[in-house]
Amino acid sequence: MFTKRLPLLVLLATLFFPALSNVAVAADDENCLMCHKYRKMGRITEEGARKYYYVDEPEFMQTVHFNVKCRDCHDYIDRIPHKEVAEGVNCAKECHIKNPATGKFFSHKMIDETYQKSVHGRPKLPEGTNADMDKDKPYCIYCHINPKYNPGEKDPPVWITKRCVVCHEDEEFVNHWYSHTARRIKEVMREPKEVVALCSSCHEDEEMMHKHKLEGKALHAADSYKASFHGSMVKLGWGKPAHCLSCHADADNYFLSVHDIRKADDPKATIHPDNRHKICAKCHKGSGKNYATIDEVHYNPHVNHPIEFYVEEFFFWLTAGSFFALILLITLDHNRRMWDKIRGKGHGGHW
Amino acid sequence: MLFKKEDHLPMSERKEFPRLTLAQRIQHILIFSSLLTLAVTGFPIKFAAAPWAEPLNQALWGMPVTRIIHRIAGVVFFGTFLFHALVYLPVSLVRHCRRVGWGVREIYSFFYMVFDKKDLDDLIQDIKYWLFLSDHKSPKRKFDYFGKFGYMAVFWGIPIVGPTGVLMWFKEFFWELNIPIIGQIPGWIFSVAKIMHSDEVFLATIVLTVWHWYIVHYNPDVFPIRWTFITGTVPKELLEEEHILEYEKLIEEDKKARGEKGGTGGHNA
Repeated sequence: MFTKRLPLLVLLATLFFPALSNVAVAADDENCLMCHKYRKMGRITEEGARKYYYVDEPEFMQTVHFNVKCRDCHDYIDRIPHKEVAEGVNCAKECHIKNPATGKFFSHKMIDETYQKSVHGRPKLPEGTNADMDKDKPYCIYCHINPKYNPGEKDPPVWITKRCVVCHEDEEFVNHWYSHTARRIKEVMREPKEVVALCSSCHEDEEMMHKHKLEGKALHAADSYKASFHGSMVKLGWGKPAHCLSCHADADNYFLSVHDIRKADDPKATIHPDNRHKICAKCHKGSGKNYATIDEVHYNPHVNHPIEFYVEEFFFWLTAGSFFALILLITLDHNRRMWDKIRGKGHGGHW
Repeated sequence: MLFKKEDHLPMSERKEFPRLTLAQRIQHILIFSSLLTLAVTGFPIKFAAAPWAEPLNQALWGMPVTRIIHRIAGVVFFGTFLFHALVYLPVSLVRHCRRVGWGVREIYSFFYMVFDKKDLDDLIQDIKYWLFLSDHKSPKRKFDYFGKFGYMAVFWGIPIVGPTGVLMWFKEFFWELNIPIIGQIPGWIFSVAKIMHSDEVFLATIVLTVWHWYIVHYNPDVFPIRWTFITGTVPKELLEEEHILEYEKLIEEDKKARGEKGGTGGHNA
């Protein structure tokens, strides 16, 4: 009986499955996907860069912004078809998602206010003065993408959520809440390698650093870090080396303070000479104020380190000199030894 | 041949001649095995940017393991040196003086690894030989100028590498230490210690792999290896070629000893 109906069941399942997976289409009630669902949606800019405007809906539905309406972020769009987009999204805006804890509309404003006070986050320069400088500035989307909920988990595990539903009733809310929380438990921080790669993507660019008037140690921050012991640890993939943000952000309130990076001469900076030892002591147990005078991480022999510079030079020339002198002696000895051997004079002698 | 005992034979009839004592061989094995361990665990950190650094480090189970191995090997390495300088040498000196006397000349004769005029003459003669200006090398004693140089290099290298290593190992302790008169150690000492630690070992590794290994491994007369470091003896032909004065001295002393005592033999230099 059942086996006879099986083909029909399979057919029904295949027909309904795509529809089921798209059930959660809620954010697009203004039908932006009418155009943006097409894969070829895009253009080539005058500089020759390819721009894609395609939104992969099933992918987007698994990201943390899945329930934010398009126009909550892209608020400059007021008609369809819309004009050329000249400005970026503003993450400090309020969107139409209510925070279930506070009941307020959600916003990244607090992060943005902190960020604006940090060394990276100065306000935009007046138009026409130096637009080039603004282009280099890391805005939110330079460091942040629209991340997915746990990519390994397509749906929240039922064996967990079925317990929540007993009291919280609304299955959809439970699923969202699970994804929201589980992502923050699993993916707490970026890998040290990722952080170093992200920061050095600008700080390694010496020309850009000159343009923004970085001097001395700050100018060579990325190179010198990579040459340091901490940098080597990151390269070799040890689990817990100190990366850029371990020192430049306050570990007590990490996720806010990564947006609050300040210059070393700012008394609020974690790397200010008065605060530095607290950062060191996080990992180096038993270290104190004098320990923080060790300048190993951003040590650069060419910047104000004459003693280290000459020690390094001394060893370089000693090693190079020894190497070539010994190679010369060995060559001479080997030549003469073989010469005597060929001419039948026995072992040729040894030094 | 390797382990054949010839102690009962008079020197003039032997094929193998004594060169290193058991204590010296054990110290050599400890020093070189720990140095090689230190090099393979340390150089991936010094040259982290190099493409071979990460695979080599991962092959040894990665940083959490190599940092422990490095410290254990460091203790063996520096400990062997301290044993040599503070225990082995003084004890040997006392033994030496008990045998030959306690005069200034006798005490001085113990320090035969120190350079003297003959080493300079030997070097000049050898350079002439290498440049085809002479047809023979200089006659050498038990340890020639290059052997002495190698031995002395240890006394300049390890006092740099050992203390800087200890300083970096216990950096939290040392930099919070209040030393009388001097006060606290300034921060830049750490950078200098780090540079000296790795650069000095790099120098030593270059010297050892190029020159020491040429003498004991690469050179066509002994390739692939000279077994002296295990057996403690050297074949007659090699000793004659390389250290003719030592060869003659061993035969002479042996004859004297046998003439006086009636053949006990076995002399440790």
